[in-house]
Amino acid sequence: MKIINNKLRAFYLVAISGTILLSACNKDLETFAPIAKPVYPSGSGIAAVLAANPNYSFYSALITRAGLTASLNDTTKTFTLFATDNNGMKLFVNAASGGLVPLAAPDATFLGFISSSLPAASAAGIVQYNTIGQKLLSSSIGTAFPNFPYTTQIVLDPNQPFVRMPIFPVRGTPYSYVNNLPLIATDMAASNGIIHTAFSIAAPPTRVLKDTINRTANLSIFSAAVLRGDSGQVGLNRFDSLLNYGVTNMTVLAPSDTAFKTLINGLSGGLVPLNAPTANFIGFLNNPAFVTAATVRGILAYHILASGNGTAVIPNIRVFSNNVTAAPMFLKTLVNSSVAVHPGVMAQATYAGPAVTSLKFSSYGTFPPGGAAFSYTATAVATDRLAVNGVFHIIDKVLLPQ
Amino acid sequence: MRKIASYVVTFLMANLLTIAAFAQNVTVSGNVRNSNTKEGAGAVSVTIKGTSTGTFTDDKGNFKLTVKSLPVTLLVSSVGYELQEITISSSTAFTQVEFKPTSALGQEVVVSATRVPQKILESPVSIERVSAASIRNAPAANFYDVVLGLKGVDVTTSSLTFKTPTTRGFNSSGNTRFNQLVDGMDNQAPGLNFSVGAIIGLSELDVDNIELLSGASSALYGPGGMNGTLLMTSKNPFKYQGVSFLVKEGIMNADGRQRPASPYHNWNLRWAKKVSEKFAFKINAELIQAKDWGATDNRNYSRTGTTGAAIAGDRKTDPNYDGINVYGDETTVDIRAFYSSIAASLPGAANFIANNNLLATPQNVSRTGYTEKELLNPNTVNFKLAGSLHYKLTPNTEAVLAGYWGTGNTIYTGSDRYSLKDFKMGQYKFEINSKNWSVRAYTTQENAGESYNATATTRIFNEGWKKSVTTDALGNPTPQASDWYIQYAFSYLSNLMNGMTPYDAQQASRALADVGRPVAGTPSFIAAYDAIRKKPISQGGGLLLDKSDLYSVEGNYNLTSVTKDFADILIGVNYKKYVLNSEGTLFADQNGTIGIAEYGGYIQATRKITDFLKLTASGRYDKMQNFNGRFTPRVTALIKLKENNNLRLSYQTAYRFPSSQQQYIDLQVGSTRLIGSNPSFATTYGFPANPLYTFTTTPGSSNISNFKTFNPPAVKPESVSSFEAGYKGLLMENKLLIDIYGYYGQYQDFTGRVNTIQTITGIAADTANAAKRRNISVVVNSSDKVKTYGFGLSADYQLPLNFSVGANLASDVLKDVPANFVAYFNAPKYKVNATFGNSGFGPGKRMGFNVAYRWQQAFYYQGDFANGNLPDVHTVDAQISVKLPKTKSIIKLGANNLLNQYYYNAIGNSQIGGLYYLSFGYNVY
Repeated sequence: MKIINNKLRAFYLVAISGTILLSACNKDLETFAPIAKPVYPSGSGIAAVLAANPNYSFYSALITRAGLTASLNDTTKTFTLFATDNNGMKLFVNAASGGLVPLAAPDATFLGFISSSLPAASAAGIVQYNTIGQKLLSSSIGTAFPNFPYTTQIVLDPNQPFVRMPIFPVRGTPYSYVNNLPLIATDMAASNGIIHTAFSIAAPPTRVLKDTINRTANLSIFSAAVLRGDSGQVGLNRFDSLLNYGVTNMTVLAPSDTAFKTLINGLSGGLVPLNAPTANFIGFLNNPAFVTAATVRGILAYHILASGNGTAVIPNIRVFSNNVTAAPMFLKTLVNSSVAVHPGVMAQATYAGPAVTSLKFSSYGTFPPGGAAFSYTATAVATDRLAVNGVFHIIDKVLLPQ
Repeated sequence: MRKIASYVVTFLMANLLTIAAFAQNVTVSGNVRNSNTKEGAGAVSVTIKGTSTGTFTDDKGNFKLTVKSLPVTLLVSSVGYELQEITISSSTAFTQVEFKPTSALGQEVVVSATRVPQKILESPVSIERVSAASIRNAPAANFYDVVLGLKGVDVTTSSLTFKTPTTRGFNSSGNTRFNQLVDGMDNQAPGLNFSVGAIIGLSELDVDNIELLSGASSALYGPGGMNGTLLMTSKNPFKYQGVSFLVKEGIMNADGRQRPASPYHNWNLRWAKKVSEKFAFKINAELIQAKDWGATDNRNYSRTGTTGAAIAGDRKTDPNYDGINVYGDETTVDIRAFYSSIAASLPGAANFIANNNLLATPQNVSRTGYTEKELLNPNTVNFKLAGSLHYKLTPNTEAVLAGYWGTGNTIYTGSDRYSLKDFKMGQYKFEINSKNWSVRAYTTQENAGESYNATATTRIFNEGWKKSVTTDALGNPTPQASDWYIQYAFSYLSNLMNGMTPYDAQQASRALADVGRPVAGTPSFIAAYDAIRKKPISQGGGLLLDKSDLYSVEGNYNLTSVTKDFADILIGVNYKKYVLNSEGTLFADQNGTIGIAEYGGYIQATRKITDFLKLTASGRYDKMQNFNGRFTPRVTALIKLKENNNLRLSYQTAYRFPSSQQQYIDLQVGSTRLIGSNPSFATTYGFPANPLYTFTTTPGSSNISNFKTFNPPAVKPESVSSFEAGYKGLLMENKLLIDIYGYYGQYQDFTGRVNTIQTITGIAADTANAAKRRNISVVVNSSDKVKTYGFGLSADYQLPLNFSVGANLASDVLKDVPANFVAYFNAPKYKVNATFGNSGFGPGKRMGFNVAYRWQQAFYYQGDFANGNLPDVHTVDAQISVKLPKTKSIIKLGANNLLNQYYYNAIGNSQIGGLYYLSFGYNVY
């Protein structure tokens, strides 16, 4: 009996330990290799790289003034900064100080201006305008025309934070630019991005085209022509609305008052003499007996560059002077939205190194209609006037579409 | 219906009037007690030898019997005791019977195999039996769990109290291919279509026995039993008398893994009284209360319609994360649409969007969800109340009026996870059982209470807090700055523009869009959530209003007394009427209830060809409204090899009419509308004029393509035919019981679903436009035949000193599965159960113990809710008990999943840990 009991006890122990061994291994449900989280780089961020380079001490001071050192050193993010070296900063400070800080001033004076005189908000605006939230190697900068806009860190509409002021880098041969400023060095590496060096500061515009044009002294007849051309129009059909709308991306060839006066003098058969007060020219434009609103509208449409085809021709390109080639190039205008076959405006630039020394726009149509081929060339007297929603060049003649 | 009722009444009258009265003039009395423990043995059969006249001992072992004359020879018998024959010569002498326990194997009598009582060794088909004694000694916290240890049984555990067993594969939470009958009544909820045996049926103290018919069993029990039938039978109050109670107190989550350790309460009370030789009644109540096992599978899931797979990623790393047990995050939108419109108007943003490939591939983003743990109240309550009145019209004819009612909170997994809250179901029957015939009428009354779809409710809750994307009255998007997706998309784009990595931008954007998101568990959250879950689905909430009913009447007649020279013949008829009533929250019954009628009949003939060969042939015909009638035959042969050793052969068929949901469901589940097979849906949804299209899914993408028009053909009942051979026998001086079976089955017209799309506009080109199409899941029959085969083997050995050891192995295999066919087979290839126990040791042999080990092999689980690999499961259950004969009590210390090894047996369902309990039972038979 005892033997049996002992045997049973042994059996019992074996059975229990066996089941414990077997059952001690319920596995959890299968798992999968986790999706990798980003690994942030180590090393100096953009602000630190610039701070360590004596050629960028002024720009570094600008970043400090802007209060953006930590942001630009944030290695969890990626940026491309269009900075400028100390020479470029001197040009900027000289201009920003209205010449009060001469180019030959000691470095301390420049640093003092940047650190104290330049409003912190302006400094922040400059740095944010020159910062895009992605890594853009010079080899990746677009070469195509029209320019690719790149979104900067300046948010135009807080309710739609992706509505941002754009900046326009473009790669060319042999020169690349940001807006109309040549890049003199590219691809300076930081752990969290890339720094390109521009000839000077690309300053952010603060006004839309309408406001900027209205504030330009020799464009008063152009402004009046806009109002005249808009009569009877509503919404974004109005040039005024387009010029005032912050998110458009336009290029306007704005004839100077002199240009308009020459045109009106001719149209009026000398009735409005060239030396008449500007108001007389505006009065002529506004008088339906002399000029219809549609005529004014047609003339203005020819001064707003556009892209696209057919009814989808829209004013959405930004053409800086340096985007115009040395060889003649034709650019569409809003006229093409109603006259699809119109050849547009012929543009041509003359270069000295990276700098544009002359910029011309020729009308290319027939005038009067059905008449002989007509070519009429205007020269830009001021180029690359930047606004939030576009750029304008002031030209010395009114271009006529036909 | 009226005609059928009049036939039934006529039939009853004819039988009652022919029952002979019987004379009674001498009363004898005595007591039967256990010879070991000297405890009175209740429910022992005491019959006059050579007749069917007899009685049962009461709970103290006393009996009283009136006989015609003395001396009389009485047979005293009960399963687990040696048969005794006593002769009584004096009516005044009190007879003390010493009843000797025996542990003889294979002595049980089963009824369900052929609808007539027979020794389990002589059953012509595979059958397993669980007796009240097995339940008493089982290492299981609940009687229902005992079934799970039977050979070949698979179980899907949705929650602590919601377990669904089956055999031969094809298991799921709401298995409709496995019948469960409680005292002859179909236990399936008529609307929700799951069998509720575990939560609303018998209470533990009232279980007399459970019989499990593995495999096809429609021939005797009607449509539905394609994979098996579980028959639960309660204790007759004439036999089992007295007051009994059983109190189990336990602990769950002992390791605090899912939640702090929590109590488990299970209280049972049974009172049965034989008022006279003609009248007896019983009342049963059971309460289970505990904190449920948690469904905590928060893995990421890629879902297309009702199929999918777990994938890498979590809430942080996958913007389109859809956690399996996380709800509300099923809402997903491809935010490219917003970027397209931004790009169209903003050249700067357009360039950035292009540079960052935001339009090249789908940018699917899901709403932030809530985990099941945050949402569902873990308090599971199950209360059962049952009672019956039994009246003997004659000694052999008993009328029974019975009611079974249950309510509770539990969690069920269908296409989504459902919280069955205050779910109620009642079954009420009237039956008359005679020696050769029976009639039964019963009804099942279902009330879903406050049951709701957790997935849908949470998605709606999210919309209530913050709209995903505002739409106009026609459903066209009219995005607003206040919309969740607008905030997310704008912020995401902006954050990328700020130089953030996509990962960080996702986190920041989700954080922004989720600002002010209600925190689960706060009073405001609960109030808002409750408002939605209590609003009917048809009114934009999550509440199921199911109050569907079933009415059934059936009759059986054993013609053997007339036909015995030819064969033993049994016939039966039945009529069922389903009344679907969900007020448009589940079925397409917005305009009134839907009735489905079904009727059928069967005949079975058994003929003993020789002493060694018995043949049985059965046939059944059923017809359900909306479908053609079906005939299901069954042929069995029992070959007696020698005494207590039988070989069985059978060919069985079974089929299943589409469930009420498969016929009439009209329910939005996630992004898909489930519709029924009834032809009326073609009118409702306007096809084929506005056609449905099948499509091809690109793996790992929301892109669909290759659209083909699809006109759903009429749905047929699915069917199975199965060949089976088995052997059951006693060996080694009757100490070893061996049971072996092997089967081969072929399923055809398998009922499943296919995901289709339909354009909202009726324009074919819009199939490619996600905003102008909707997903519709339609019921179809598979044209492929699916084959299954398998085997089972069990051995139980009686060791000395009341020790016993047993083991079983079963295998189920699905064969020839066509590519892309989702069969929902859900059975491990191999599973093993092993037990070791002792029914009496120690002083007075009053102690007992049992250890059960279960292993099932890993397999791929397929369910409408979630699919995935289930790893091997090992569990050990154990109990040790001591009887206290003086107080007729038993104390049991037990554990389910003794080693607290958590496991799942279905993806997306609860993860089950250890349950440790101590129970005290009084007068437990």
